[in-house]
Amino acid sequence: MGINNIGYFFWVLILVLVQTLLLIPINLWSHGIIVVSAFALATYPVFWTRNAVLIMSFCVGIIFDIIYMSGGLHTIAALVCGYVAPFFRSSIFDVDALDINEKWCFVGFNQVRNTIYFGGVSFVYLLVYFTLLFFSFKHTFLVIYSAVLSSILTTLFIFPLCNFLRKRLIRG
Amino acid sequence: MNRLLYFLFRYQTGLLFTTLLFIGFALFAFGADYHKAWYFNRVGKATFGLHSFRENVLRPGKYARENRALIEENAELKAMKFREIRILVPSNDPRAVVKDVDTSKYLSFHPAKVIYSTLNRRDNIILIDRGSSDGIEKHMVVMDARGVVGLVSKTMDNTALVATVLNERVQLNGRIESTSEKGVVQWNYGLGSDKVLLTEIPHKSNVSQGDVVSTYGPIGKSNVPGGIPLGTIGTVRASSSGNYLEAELKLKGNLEQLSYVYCIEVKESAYLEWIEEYGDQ
Repeated sequence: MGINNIGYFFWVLILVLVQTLLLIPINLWSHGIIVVSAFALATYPVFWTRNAVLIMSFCVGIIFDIIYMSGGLHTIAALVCGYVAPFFRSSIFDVDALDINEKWCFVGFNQVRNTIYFGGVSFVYLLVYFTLLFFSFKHTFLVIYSAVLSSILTTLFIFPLCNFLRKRLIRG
Repeated sequence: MNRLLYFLFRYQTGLLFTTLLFIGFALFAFGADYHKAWYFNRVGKATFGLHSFRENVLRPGKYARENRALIEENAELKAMKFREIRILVPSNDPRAVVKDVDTSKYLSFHPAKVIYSTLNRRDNIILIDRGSSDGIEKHMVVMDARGVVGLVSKTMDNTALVATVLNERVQLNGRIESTSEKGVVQWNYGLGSDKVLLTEIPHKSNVSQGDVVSTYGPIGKSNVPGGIPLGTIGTVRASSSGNYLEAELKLKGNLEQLSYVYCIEVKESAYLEWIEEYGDQ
């Protein structure tokens, strides 16, 4: 269990570095951004309690707020994401049936379910983020448009990462 | 007591979530407003460290140094190029216009590298790698090679936060070069990242598409020198109140691809000496 936790923390650190080094300048049509913090949260180890997930979400949110100088936007989005991720996971996957090796940082083998899960969590994250960013009913369409576009871009980006993780880290 | 403990234990996840969410909203309330130094003073160094690291990894060594040398040389040339400044006196006072003098005595250009910028927010900002120890001060106007980019909002020792013209809270005085009429330049999110709005243009104005607009004198606490290009007029229409015209400006500065900018310092003491020497013109 210990090595799993350390492995997960390293995984989050790698994702933070990827975000800082590669993903910050990406801004398609002014509204399309890629934020991998939802992916980092969605891959939490299955044996974690919901409280641990919430605390991890808070920490990840704070780190992304520092990267983006965005006040508490990422913290709030990450917390909401951390709150709903266990519900998403239990409704999309049969967690108890998974092999222990798959539980390293939870990437189920079914690609369609993976996409729904990570895409869904990313969408929730980005929806909360853009709602707070614009903070106006006048921009409702823009909030939805930005959240949909950005979650599609994020899902497209994390798909190969997810495969990499599945092949290299789980199957060895 | 037991019931209290039972309650806390029973709803621990909800309570933890609420507490952390409350902290998040407190950060949002205190940190999202770029006017407030509280947040910037706490996270500014960490953000600067992260983005400097990124810049050093992506653009290492020799090229960065060569770029820096070129940009510093360019800053000196830019200071000589300006032939008009409007400072210290009311902007409609003729004394405010200084022509055909060596403006490098009155203006100083501090080059800085942009290490982080935003485009999709309502309060867009850029972070530069020069701060108060390099002579950058709050309220300085910032421009890129083509035109105005924004105003310095916060400074630390080695970094500064610039509120760009793509920020709903930033306003600048603008003057239409062809007609000498003035207006207020401001931005709202619906305009996109390459346009701003010139408002309060007199109704009788002959402004037309393609006219050039530049800065015109100080606004608030910012000592903005006149004559810095802002943009060119696009469409012109009556304002919603009907008393004025308003025009969309296509920005000269390219905020989507910023790499180096210049923070413009207005040397007030030198200007005062000039006034004493030449008197009213």
